[in-house]
Amino acid sequence: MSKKLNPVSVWALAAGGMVGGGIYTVLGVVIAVSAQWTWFAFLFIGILAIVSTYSYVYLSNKYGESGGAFAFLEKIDKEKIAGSLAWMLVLGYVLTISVYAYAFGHYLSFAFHGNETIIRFLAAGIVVALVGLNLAGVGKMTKVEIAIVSVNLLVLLGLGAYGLTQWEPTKLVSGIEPRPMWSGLFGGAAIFMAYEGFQLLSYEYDRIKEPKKYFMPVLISATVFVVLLYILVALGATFIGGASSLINFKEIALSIAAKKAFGNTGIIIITISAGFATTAAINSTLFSTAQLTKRIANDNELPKFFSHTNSNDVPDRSIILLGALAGLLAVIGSLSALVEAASLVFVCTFGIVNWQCYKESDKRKWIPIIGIVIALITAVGLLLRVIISKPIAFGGLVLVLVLILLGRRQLLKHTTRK
Amino acid sequence: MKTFLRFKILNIITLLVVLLMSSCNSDKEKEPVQVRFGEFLWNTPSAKIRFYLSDDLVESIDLEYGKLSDYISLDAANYQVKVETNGKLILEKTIGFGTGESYTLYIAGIFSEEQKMNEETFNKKMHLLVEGAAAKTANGYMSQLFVQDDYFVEEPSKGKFRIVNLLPGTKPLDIEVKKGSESKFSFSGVEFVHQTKTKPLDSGESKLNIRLGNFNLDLESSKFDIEAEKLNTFYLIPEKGDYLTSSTLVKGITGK
Repeated sequence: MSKKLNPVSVWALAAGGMVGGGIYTVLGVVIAVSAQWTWFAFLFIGILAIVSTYSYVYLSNKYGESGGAFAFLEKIDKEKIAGSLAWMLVLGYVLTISVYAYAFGHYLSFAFHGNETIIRFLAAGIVVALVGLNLAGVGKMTKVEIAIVSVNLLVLLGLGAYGLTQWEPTKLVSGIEPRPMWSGLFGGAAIFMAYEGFQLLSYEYDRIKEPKKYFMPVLISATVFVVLLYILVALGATFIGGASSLINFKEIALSIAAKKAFGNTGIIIITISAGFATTAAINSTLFSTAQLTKRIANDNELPKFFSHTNSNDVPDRSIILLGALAGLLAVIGSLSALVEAASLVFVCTFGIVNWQCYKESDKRKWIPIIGIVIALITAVGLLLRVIISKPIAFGGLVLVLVLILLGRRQLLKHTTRK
Repeated sequence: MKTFLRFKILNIITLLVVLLMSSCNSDKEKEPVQVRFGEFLWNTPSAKIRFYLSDDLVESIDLEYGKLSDYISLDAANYQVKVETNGKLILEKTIGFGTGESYTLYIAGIFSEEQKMNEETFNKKMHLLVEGAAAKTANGYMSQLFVQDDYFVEEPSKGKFRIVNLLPGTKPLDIEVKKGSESKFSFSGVEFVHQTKTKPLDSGESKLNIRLGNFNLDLESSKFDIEAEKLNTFYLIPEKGDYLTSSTLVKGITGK
């Protein structure tokens, strides 16, 4: 029996899960859409993240077990929805891992003047390495993760705080046209995945010390902290880097901000921080997703193929397949397409969790209602953005979702018979 | 006690990181903005760009078609930028210019007397709505003003190369850069008003081959020089009076 996670560890893992790769990759994307209202974009979807945190913790405490959104839906006999949602979630996690790997490849390659081939090699390489570590049974390295998270948060706080000392509002629209405030809705929608990490802790519920007492205040304070940190970094990095430079170099936006402020020292610090943060985030997401697929397979909502474990009791087939898919997407995908597809999956998931919390709550129903409303607005904004800017990618995503919704039952019937 | 000690250590690391970063800071507060103008709007003899601050004219550049001006210095601020050609105001935008940055503003498309100021197609409006500054569409080949960020990261003994397709009406271009007979890198499907990624290239003479991708037709084949530790930007535009029957390259150099 592993040692229970204390409140400080839970806080660090939740904050690290969100910040792990998110802010490194999404900043340039959201600045392009929202310009001087980038901070508002982070705040708007930050509210969705905070109320969703409440809903996740409320439902986890109510049912008293690990498992996240899938387990919540199973509890109210919505197996069909639970199964479809679980498949969607697995897709979301694969996309998330690919975004982290993509960021890892770009940040490291930039520091060494690498080319496209090196970027791809690094992105695929980190996934392969972590798949190998997981198969060897190393799994979730909680203490290492907490240490990485702490340093990562400090570097981002330092960059953001330094940026604020360079206060220059013109930099928020430098090289671009100012945008209306409502653009924050589209900007926030595009990058919602930057907040998804907190819900990985709902898979660790059984390992949390006195969860009924600590889980709610700890997880909510972590999410509130990350919302404030993102706003701080969004303002600070743009004051240093200038809006159009961060858009142009969106894959490595924070390295550009750090270089403009501190030269090569800045690049070194951000590269180390981004490298470790994305590695920890990939590892954590890969581990949790593999455990989730194993559980879903055991509940007959995924083919039994995925419940297979190796001699280290690691769901080896899940890990290999998830890693292969994520590595492939990181190599062939574009940043905003990956980020938007992942965001769409998590907005839908969080909307459903808020809806369930609303149904299950006896008091404070207004909290999940806020979550449902913002999730709806965000989903519509995101769909509109993807339809207009990436119609082909949208078609592909619709096809995958239709396959999940319609083809899942057929596949499960077929594999169960076997 | 252990937790307290851990937080103490974290506080010390924070302080060290901030101090380290602060000590490396160079004083850039007073640096002006560098701005230049490119007149690549086909079917115009010349164009004028004016920079206003609260209705006061601050700077103005007059330029013939196919020319790229030198950089001028401006104070950092949000400017009202107006573009005139043939005695007609065709574009008016508010653009921010932050301290120490450098930008190329250029106009592209096909000039038409009937076009209204800032006229945009429905498609362009939709893309602007959801993509903001990242929206790049042909806008029905109507006049557009673009702001190009000229920030680049130097590499020792290498120059940086990028090229913009400003040939209205063409199919996407395939672009290949060669050094001697060796292909250094290539870009495929570069659409109108889109620019390639910025790539490092050894200084000295290189060769550029541009083809109309779908037709496998050579459009441009020319030699050019890359300046080391500078950003070498190329604008592929229609030659004056010879719409699409011939193209020409305009080169812009940005130093640090």
